[in-house]
Amino acid sequence: MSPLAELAAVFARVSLFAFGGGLGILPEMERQTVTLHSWVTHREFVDAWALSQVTPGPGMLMVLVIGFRAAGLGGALAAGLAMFGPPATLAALVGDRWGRLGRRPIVGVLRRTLGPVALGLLAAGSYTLLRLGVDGAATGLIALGAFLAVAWGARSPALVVAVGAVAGLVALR
Amino acid sequence: MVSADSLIDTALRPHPTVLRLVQAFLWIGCVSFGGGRTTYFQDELVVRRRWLTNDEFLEAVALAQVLPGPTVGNLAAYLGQRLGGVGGAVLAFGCLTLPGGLMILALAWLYFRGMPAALTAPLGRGVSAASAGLALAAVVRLRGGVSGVGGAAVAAMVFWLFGPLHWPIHWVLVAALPPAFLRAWHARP
Repeated sequence: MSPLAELAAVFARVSLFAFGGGLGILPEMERQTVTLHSWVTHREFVDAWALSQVTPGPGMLMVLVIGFRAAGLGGALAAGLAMFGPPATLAALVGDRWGRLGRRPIVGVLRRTLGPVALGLLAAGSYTLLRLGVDGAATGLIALGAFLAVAWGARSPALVVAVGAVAGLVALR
Repeated sequence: MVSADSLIDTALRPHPTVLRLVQAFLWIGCVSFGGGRTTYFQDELVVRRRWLTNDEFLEAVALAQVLPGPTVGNLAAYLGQRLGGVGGAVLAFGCLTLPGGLMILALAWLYFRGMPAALTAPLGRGVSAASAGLALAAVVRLRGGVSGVGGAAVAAMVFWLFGPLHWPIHWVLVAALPPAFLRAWHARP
């Protein structure tokens, strides 16, 4: 198999078997890209994740770094398209179907079924992020300040994270 | 309940123009640093542009997360489809991923030429901490999507199983969907 096809096959498989999103994908991705295919070293894998943390957009853009290492720009493109393309296509199809469901009462019930589940998933996600991002008084204060500013101060999230980044530079050197 | 009304709203509400759709998702693509990226979508699409209600947004989050693959990409494709059809989905997804994609490629190029990844680390720590607070703020902003004790109990259960207990998502759904459905059925107008 050509390197590009192999990259695409591996990332498409990792992506389509990753449910629940986010950090749950990482262990299987590391097994495939570091252990099985040796596209990157463990160190490079960890650093790819670190680079995605200072890049806007989906965190899984880190697959571009791995694809780039394995096969240059074409590799980055193949990895990114395979990671995002199939599930995003599926999501758009679901959006189309969901939008056509109309106004039958059962649809209202399904909608209200999803509300609390989504809120619980979001709360669990922020729990994970807090455990990863807060490791002392300074980071705790940054998280608390960002929380208060966005939850009740209605400040722009972009502004708040920019302030947090600067505060981090000043306080965590 | 808002659900029936919000459907009527959606039907009446004009679809955003291509330009505004591009503006909104390109903005999110340029500024959504750190975790808690859902918050940027809620702020831009629900609070500022009023293209969606909080309830519609919560539905989108649930579907994007339950479907396989990276949640944020799914969310953009799903919302783009709802706001502007197939073209909307392609544009939303493209605008969300293009700025970060170009930037991380530039960083990768530097990194493999010897830039230490630790160079960006101090920035990363502040961003991580702030975005954890941001993610929690989204929960507070969207709490209206859960009404009554039953809804709060379902949300708390999903949180506990998926967060601290680390259950796989399919088991969380097996445990949570039946009570969530029963509650919604019971509370129907």
